[in-house]
Amino acid sequence: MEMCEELEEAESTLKQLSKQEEETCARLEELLLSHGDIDQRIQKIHKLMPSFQLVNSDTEELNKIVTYTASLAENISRKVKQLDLAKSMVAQSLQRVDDIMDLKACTDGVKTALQNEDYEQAAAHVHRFLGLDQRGLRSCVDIQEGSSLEEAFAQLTEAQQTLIEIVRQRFNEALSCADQASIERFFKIFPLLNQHNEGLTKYSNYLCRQVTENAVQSLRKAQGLTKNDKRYHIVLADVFSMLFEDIARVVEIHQPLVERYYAHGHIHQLIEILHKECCVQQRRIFQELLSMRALARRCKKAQDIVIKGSVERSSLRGNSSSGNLVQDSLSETKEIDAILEEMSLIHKHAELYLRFIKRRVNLDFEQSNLPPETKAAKIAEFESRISTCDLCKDMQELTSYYICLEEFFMVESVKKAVDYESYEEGSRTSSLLEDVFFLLKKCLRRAFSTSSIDGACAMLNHTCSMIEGEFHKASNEKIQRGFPTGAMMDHAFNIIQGKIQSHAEQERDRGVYIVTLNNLETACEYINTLVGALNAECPKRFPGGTPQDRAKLETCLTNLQQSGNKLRSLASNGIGQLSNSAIRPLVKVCCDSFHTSNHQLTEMEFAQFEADDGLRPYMQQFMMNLDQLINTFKEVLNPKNHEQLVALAASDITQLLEKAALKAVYNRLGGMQFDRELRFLIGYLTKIASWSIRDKFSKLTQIALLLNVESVSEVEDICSANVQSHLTWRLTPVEVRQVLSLRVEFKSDEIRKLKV
Amino acid sequence: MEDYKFLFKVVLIGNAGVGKTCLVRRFTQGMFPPGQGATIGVDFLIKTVEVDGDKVKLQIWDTAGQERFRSITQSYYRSAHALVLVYDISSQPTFDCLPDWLREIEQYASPKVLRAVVGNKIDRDDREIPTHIGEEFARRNDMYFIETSAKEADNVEKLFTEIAHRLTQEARASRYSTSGPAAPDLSQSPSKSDNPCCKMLQ
Repeated sequence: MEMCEELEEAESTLKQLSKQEEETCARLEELLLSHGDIDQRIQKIHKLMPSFQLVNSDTEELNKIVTYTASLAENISRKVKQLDLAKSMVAQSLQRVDDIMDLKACTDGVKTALQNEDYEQAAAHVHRFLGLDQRGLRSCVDIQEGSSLEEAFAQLTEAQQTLIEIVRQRFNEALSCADQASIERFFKIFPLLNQHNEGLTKYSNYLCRQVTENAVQSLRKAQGLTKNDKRYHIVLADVFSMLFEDIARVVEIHQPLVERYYAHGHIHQLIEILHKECCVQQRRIFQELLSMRALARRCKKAQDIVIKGSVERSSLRGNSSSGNLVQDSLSETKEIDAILEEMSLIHKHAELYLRFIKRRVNLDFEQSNLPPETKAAKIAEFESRISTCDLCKDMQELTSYYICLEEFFMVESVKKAVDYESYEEGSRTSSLLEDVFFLLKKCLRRAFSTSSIDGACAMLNHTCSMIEGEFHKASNEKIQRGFPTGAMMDHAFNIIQGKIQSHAEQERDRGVYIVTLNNLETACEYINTLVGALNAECPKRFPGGTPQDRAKLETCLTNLQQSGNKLRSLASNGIGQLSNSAIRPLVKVCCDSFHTSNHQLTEMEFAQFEADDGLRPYMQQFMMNLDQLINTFKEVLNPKNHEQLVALAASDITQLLEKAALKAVYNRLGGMQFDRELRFLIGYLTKIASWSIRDKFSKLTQIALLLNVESVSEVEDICSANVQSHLTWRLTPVEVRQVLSLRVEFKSDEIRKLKV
Repeated sequence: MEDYKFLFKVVLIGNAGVGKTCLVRRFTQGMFPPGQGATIGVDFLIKTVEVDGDKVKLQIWDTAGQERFRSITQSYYRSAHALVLVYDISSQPTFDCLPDWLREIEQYASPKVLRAVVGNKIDRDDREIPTHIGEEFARRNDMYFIETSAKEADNVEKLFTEIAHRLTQEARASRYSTSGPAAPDLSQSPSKSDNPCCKMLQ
């Protein structure tokens, strides 16, 4: 066994070894074969060896050449640098020589020019001298020569001083005798002598004198005007406007001059001096406005009346004031109207003027060579100076008076419109609506035309107060009186009312009620239109407004719109009352009849009704009355109100009829009759109102559908059909069973078993 | 439509220079503007705060204190839900004017308006109005009282949060008492809901 195993092992080892041998032989052979190949390669490499040496030496050579070239280049560049330096020094020297020559020319020139009184020439020389690099010149000249240089400098500085003296003197002379040509001549010389400030200040002050003179004159002329003059009412607006235009004209004429001789960035000096004068002059006009139009007194009075009025009117209403007083206040209101017109014009002019000077200064700074930060700072500085000026302050005061008087004007006029409300035959609205909105439009337009955002916002706020106060109150009082029913629906029913009114009185009250509803609804429309129009006007009226200003204005406009919505809800309230008092009784009568009539019909009865549109007599009567009533209202109510009334009537009908329907007992024909009548009713209402009314009837329609089935099992089909058609089923399972139980033929256990 | 449940108008009034603008800026922008010029007319800022999980939008009207802007500022009183009367604790005259301001409020504002008295600038050490004097004034006139410093951000947040809180509670109460939690029915009398406090947007 052991041997056997050893043998096997030996055999396998042998096999393995012989295999290894074979493999080794094969590899040896392979190696031998490649030996020749390797030899060949080695030979090739041997051949190449000498050429490598060549390359090496060549490279070394190249390296040497490159290094040499580099040092050469460096050398050259150093020389070029030196050359450059020398060249620039030469140029500088040439410049200095030039400067010195110029200096010489200037020194000589100034003398002769001064002698010849050729100040332009002299100034040009001085300007050249001022433009010289004095320190540079001093540094490059030796001490001996320096003395002559200093001499020249001294001479020129002296010449500059003399020239300034002369120009100043001559300019003053020219200014005092208003010699336009000389003024302009010397005005141009100042910047050459680096005296920008003085030149501009003096010149601006000179220009101011003209402005002052004109302003004083036009104010005096205005004061002399009599009340009969056509422009008396806006004469001070004219004076303001003339002042502003005068300044604008001066700026317009002299800006090119300043830009040309003084460069950009200087116009603000001229404008500021003119503006200061403007502030002085406008204050005089403003004072005149205060006294001529008695603004303080009027405002005080207006405030008292507005405050007292709001107290009085809430306690007692009526025409307690005598005719004389009414006449008095009427002419007062008219006067105030004229004053408001003038004030809004003044503010508009001032705003326009301020925008003009700001724009001019900004543009001038933008075009100047100043660094951007300096520009921005200078612009901001200018604007802040302007925003605290007297003109701005006075205009703010003017706005204050304006708002006070405009509010008074609006409130008083609206009160009058309320007191003198008239109803015109054939008109759905009363004079109140047109009068009030004519006024509101007028007041708000005027407020917007002042270009004062705060003024416009304040008037929008006052308008809101007026609409939610006076107008709302006047309308609400009428609505609270209610809609008297009586003679109008005589033929249909009679309601015994506690108070007995004459036929005419009732007729009138009904008219007032309807007109008030229409007024409210139309007022809401008007407000929306007005807000839209004012919104569109904003960019034109307030072009300089910041985003915050716009947000403010928008908020105030939105508030006005919300005031309109309050009127609409008051109207809705009134229509609800109208429906309750006029239509609901009619529906009630119909439903009562429905309740008392028999719904278990015979074939003969059913067929008999067919002849009359398929309606029972009381239903026929109801349809007729309803149609008549709705048509009457259609004539007097405006479309939106009418639509709402019909919708409310429809709701009433569904509500009451549903109750009545669930109280009766039917046979199949009775159910069919009900279904027929309901379809007729829905058909009628959809014809006069909108399709959406159908929706209100969906529950009732479903009740009729159930009352009309042949057997209880049919209900399941109906239900599944409804699920498929995605119709919303308004009845709960309990209600379905309740409805089915109204059918006399159906057994209660059958209904109970029904799967809904 | 913006996402908020209530919108309230808060109007700040008081003499010039008592720090109305600084209070508003501190609250709305978290900063104290140095070297502020006088307000011209009326400034308008908005901040939304949260009251018990409801977003409440405060429309803050920062009015100019100077006399010549009075007729502009008065026009904002009537629709205001809260009027904040500010004085400077280091300036007796600004406190002495409070009764005049109250008269104005009574004349022009809604009787239901929420009124607050604020003594500002408590960071200053030259106080002229002791706290209890201000408190007493507020108590006598049935107003909310707080002392603040816009500069140090003391009590500023608390002032406006308190106002928002009170107004929200009022609005909720009036909502439940008039139309109830259900959607308002148009046919119901809206005349009862003329309370300006609640403008709901859904």
